[in-house]
Amino acid sequence: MSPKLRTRQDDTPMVLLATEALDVIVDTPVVEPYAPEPWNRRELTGFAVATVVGGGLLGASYLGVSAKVALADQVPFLDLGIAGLLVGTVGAVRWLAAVVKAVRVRRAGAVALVRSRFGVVATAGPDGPAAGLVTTARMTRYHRPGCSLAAGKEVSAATRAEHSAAGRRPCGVCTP
Amino acid sequence: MKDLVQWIRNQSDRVASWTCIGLGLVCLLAGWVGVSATAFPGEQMPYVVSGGLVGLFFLGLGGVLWLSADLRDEWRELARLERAVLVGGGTEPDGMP
Repeated sequence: MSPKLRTRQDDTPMVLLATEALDVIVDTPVVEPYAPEPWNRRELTGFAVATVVGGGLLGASYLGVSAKVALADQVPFLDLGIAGLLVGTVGAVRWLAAVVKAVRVRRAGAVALVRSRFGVVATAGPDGPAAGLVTTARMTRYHRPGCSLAAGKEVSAATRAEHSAAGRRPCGVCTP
Repeated sequence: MKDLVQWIRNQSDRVASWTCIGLGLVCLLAGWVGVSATAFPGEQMPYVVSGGLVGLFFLGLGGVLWLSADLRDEWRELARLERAVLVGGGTEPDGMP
């Protein structure tokens, strides 16, 4: 009996799948491979802890500074407040860096998905395709045939060298 | 009123962001007023901490929350795009958020 592939999106409850010894459970979402938010629990916890610790240090700093009268006695508590601000800043920067990275990775994945689905060539080597880069008579740039900026227009194809010789530059959208 | 509550629920991160920014500005202003009211450094120091440092802390927190809200919007937009490409073949089917 060959193994039967199933996903968690099947209607059958997970508990039944687990009891079928020959079944193979594929735990890969088909449509939504990413988390619902651009951060995970660990990053969120790290940000929350840094914020709370930073705020706590600032509160302790305020209480300490308020309890002293002499400037020399207040300085250590002022340092404590600055440390709290730094802790909060580091936590926030780490959080933002993680979120920006996650969004950047997903954006690159979405671009690759669109390119693969609509047949736009992602890379064409250092010199690009030998021919087939299109333009119109009034354009100052040349495009890949699938570029949305050339869609629906009366285009003519030429090589990259011919476009360059005519003074045309590559499109910034489809980057031929 | 119901719409406002709904809007606040949907935009909770931006509401929190503007709340933090508002608190930060209030703290900075209160700190400045407190520091200006006395000439003794020992009396000014609590205002420097509660007004200056705490104000900066809240302003920074508000900015971070605002940026993360924008990034979350982009995340959801990318999710919609992926669903539209995978399910609808490039056009979003009816009823898709």
